[in-house]
Amino acid sequence: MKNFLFAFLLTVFSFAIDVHIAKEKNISQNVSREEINGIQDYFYELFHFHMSERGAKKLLKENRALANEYLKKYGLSSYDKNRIKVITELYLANKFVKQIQNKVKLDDDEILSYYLDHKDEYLQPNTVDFVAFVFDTPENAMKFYEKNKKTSMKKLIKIAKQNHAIIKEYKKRSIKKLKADLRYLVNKYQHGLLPPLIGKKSSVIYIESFDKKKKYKSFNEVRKEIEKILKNKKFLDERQRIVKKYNKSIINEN
Amino acid sequence: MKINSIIIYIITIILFLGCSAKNKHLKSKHLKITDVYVKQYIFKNDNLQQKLIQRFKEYWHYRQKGDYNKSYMFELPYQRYLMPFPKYKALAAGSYVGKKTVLEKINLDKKNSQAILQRKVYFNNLYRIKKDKWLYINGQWYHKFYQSILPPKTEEEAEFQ
Repeated sequence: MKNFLFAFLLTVFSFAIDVHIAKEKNISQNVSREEINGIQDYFYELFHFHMSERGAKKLLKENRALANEYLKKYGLSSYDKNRIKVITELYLANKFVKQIQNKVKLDDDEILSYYLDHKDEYLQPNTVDFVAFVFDTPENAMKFYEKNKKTSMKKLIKIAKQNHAIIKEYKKRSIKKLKADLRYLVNKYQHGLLPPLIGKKSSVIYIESFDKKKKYKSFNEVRKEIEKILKNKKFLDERQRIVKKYNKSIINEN
Repeated sequence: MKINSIIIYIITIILFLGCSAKNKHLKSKHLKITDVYVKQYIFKNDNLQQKLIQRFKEYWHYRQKGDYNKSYMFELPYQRYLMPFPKYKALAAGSYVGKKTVLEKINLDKKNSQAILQRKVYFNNLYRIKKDKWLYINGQWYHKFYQSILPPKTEEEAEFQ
């Protein structure tokens, strides 16, 4: 445990947990792969937020330094110690239930019926392909627009390059997630043209193509996701069932 | 002579068993339902719709009779997975259990494997118009259960409660 600030000593005696935490003089700047994965999973489970590896490393180091300072200054109260203990117990208990639950496969009808009943939640996002020509001034953008309203894509790129514009291509962008003014243009105008400029802007948009049909994700695509949703919803019932079984086995042992 | 009588005996037994099996099958298929009706003008030639009407009649017959063990099996499979029978029974047995149900309208959406049904529920001399949602899953129609004891949590629940 040389490299770790926290030395968690989890000793399991008859399902009891003992937690030992101590401050360190020299804080290690290294973070392990498992620690990175651990904090990424934690944030995803809690907030549905995908943390980058860089972000995870940064946060781990910051927490390490701050936690160590706390230990130096205040030490660990028995409340803190018990709280860490119960959180660890909760984590292990839930993991135990989930592992048992995951062994039971849901049948096709159960998953399919959920899919059909919630089909609108599985709509494919409508997407658009577009190119943005970014000029140094709004005036140059306006000039480009006025001169090339009906020019083909290839020519537009050539002219834009001659005018030193920055060309950015965007593929399969969800229309829902576009900025309001761009979404308005995509919804109102046909593809294969330059829609008018809204306000004073230094960029011109060319709508290459879009997909606005109402399409649903296929059942196989969302099958695992649904299985997870149903198991999460059933989790508390499952936990009760397993607790009853576990308690019985303890009673039998005694 | 003896062999002949044994053969006749065996054939009679087989025929008898066959008839009883057939009758049993007919009995379950043609359940005597006297409290659920279907309006005359509802188109019944469509096979899918015919199946739906049969399921509808059986389901509401069981619900009105208070045979929740049987009606439970008509509910959507994922709802049964999430809702154990005792909870279902508690939520299904409200004070507004009708005495007679008439199926008035069917909106069949084959593309999305679902149907919205309109029914008239009679409580003595009074009646209420209610809506049902049914989904077609792997060759069978299933009812979507909406509890009617607690206040609705979603817009859909409010519409179908």
